[in-house]
Amino acid sequence: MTGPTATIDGLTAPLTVAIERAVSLLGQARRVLITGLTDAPLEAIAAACDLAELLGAAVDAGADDIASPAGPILLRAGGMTADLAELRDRADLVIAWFCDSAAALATVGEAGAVAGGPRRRLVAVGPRPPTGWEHISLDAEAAVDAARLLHASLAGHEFPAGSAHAPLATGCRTLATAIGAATCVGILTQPGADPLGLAAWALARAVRCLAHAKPAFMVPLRLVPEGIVDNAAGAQTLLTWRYGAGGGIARADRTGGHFRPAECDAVRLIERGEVDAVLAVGRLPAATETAIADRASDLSLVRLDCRSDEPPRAAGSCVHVRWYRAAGTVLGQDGRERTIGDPAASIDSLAMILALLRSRLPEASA
Amino acid sequence: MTLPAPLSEPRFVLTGGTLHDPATGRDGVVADIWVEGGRIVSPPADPAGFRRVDVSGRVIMPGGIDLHSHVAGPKVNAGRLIAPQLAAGRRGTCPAAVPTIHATGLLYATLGYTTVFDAAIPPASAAIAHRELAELPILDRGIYLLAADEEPVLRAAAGTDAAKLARLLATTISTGRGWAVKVANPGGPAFWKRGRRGDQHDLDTQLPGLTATPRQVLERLATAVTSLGLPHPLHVHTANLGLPGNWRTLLETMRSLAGRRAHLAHVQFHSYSGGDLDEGSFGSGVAPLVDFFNTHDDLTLDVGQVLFGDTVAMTADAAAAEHISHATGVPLVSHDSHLAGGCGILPIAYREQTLIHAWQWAIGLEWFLTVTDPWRVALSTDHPNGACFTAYPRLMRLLGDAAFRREALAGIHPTVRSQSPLAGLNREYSLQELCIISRAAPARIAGLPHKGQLGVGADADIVVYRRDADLARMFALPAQVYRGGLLVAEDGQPRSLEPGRLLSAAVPEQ
Repeated sequence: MTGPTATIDGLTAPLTVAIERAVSLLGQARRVLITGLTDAPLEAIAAACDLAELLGAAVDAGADDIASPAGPILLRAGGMTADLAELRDRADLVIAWFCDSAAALATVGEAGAVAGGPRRRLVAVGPRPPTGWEHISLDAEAAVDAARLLHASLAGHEFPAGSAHAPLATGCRTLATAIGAATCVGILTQPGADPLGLAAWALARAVRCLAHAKPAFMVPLRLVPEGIVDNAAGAQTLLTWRYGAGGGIARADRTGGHFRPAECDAVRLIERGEVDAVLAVGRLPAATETAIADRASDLSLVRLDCRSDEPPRAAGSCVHVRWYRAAGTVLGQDGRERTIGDPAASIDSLAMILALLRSRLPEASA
Repeated sequence: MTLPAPLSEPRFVLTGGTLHDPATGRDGVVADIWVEGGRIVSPPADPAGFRRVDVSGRVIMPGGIDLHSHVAGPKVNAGRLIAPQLAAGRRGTCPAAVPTIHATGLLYATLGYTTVFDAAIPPASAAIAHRELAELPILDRGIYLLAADEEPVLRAAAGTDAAKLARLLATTISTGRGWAVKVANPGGPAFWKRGRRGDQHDLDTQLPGLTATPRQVLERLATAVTSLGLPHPLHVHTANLGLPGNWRTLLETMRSLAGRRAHLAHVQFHSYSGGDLDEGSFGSGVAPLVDFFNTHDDLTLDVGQVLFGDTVAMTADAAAAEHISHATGVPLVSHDSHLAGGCGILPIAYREQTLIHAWQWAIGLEWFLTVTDPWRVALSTDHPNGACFTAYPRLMRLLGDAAFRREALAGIHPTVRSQSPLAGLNREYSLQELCIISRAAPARIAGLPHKGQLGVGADADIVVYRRDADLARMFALPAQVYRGGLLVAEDGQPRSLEPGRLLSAAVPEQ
């Protein structure tokens, strides 16, 4: 078994030396940001939080909904969710709502959830027509208006007159007819590309309105690159029970974190120079990587991840520890835990590295 | 937070305290409490090695037990998200309605509570809830599992194979490491998943897609739980929570369960008179309910008292949450998982001058003050639904101080002031009775023979209070709190963060 490997400023270094350097960087920092976390197991996230509390660090998981100005609530208000098994077993109308047709629907297809047939109708709404689905063509920018119009239709209101709304109204009328003929409606959604949260909110309201008339639910699809652990739900859940929010934590404190949505997210903290050290646990969103690169000379970086490559870094101190593989527990979007990797391989685990950092830090601070 | 090393003394004696220990019949008796190995022991023949702690003049009670609270799991996390300003409160400033899991333990312990149960965890979320509860400091803790939200269990409860239902419940309790079975709106998820909204009117409406009614589901669940010999009987949140006229549903629930052991949760939220969905006719339906309850000894209850202030309502009864959201216009967070139940969460601000809120406040107190047997009543606010548990001292004063209660009554909505029977209720709970409803009765109801008492062999969960005519002040700041013989809090400050034990029920093999 291969253990963790490390580099310091791009040069291969023994793990023990890299750990000591990381401890030094974090211990001497004015203010540390701990970010990433969404592809780390729960055990490692907990260890990262322990470290954050020791350092009084800011914490942000880089999740999309925390970065939204409206925060996490807007995205969840009124959502009626289910999983693919529910879709497979009950829905006679499946609507793919502005999903990426190739990747998202492939995921669903693998689960056997959208096999078409005489008793199941498949309708895709959005810019691109997936193979085998009826298609209602609407531009991506129309997602919010389409959801609002559908909601109005389901609530019994007339479609607005006027040529500006004509294509939208035609599409929604077709959809409303299909919904009217169905007994159970499953709607596939693809969270992510919704910076304000309005599209998700508008659709959630429409689905809840529909659910008053007949069984209806949304199935959010998360697209995660192959080989990447998805523990976004775990990160948000654990951070919330520890600090009262899933990110945007100004200072890690178990008695009540200082929640500053859209103020203390990772990108803003880095861009404004409010942190001078970043502990990146796992993969980071592209925007965070860009922010780190832009402030490289002012920022110490400790990176713990599985990636084999390393973004070039022109300046600033950087310790990069690659752990062997993720092992531990992750939380699915459905709220269920599952085990990944070999828990027995804890000697190589991320949690162990984080615990090691924590155990060394008081010494460094002193 | 850095703490001094925990004061972990294997042996000590609290001397000269005035004991309130209803389980052993001691009511204001001055006696010593000997502790060894985390338990209360008989006075030893050789007292050498027992450190003496002088508690003369102070009031000694067993540690508090909250048998119906919401402290962990997905709905509590959603509550923290929906009201982050209420998640970060600290003692002495704005009290948190939905504290972080760590703060929850500290706040409970510094109030003199040593055991808490989360009353509604979906089986699918039990693993993550246990992970969260592992970070709960100090308190012994357990969970009630919403077993009947699971489709196979609901189908079994709707059928007639009692052995199969018992087997499924046993498996749920065993795998979910639960303490009890909770049902929230019996059969309600079937309406929520399959029916049209508004289809569910009473306990006798046929469940969509099933050949049974909510009443039959309720009765079969209660029987199955009894057959398993679980420590706590079926924990029942009945249908029509929060609706005008729902006192009839609660009465029918009690009639259905009479003759079986069952616990009725947060009865305040189920005791409203008035016409169906007619909030203008809202009022108290407590009197006939109390009459029935007082004459049926197998039934127990917790009240779910409302106290004025900001909080977050959260329930596994998603339909009820949505109704409240529509009625009040506040935003709802709803986590529905159609295969495994759901929950609804919404912020709420209880105000003295709001008619409905004033009725809710008065109805809860009416329950407390008209039930004749305090041993069948558990003090609760259904945290955080009626109020945060940090308001318990205020509730204790409302119960134990009639003058204070009258003063509070004078400040609420005039209609309630004039129509509620509260003004004519002069009962004052004694210290012994307050001890019963916050310690001894919850222990007995929950099935914890080693808790809620100070007899030999009991867990050394002990609270030392300074006597004070102001009961709210007295109960808000105990001088010392011991959990399992360990000093965990002193004068409002935590002294140990050592986690307590998980209470999980043993179930017989089916």
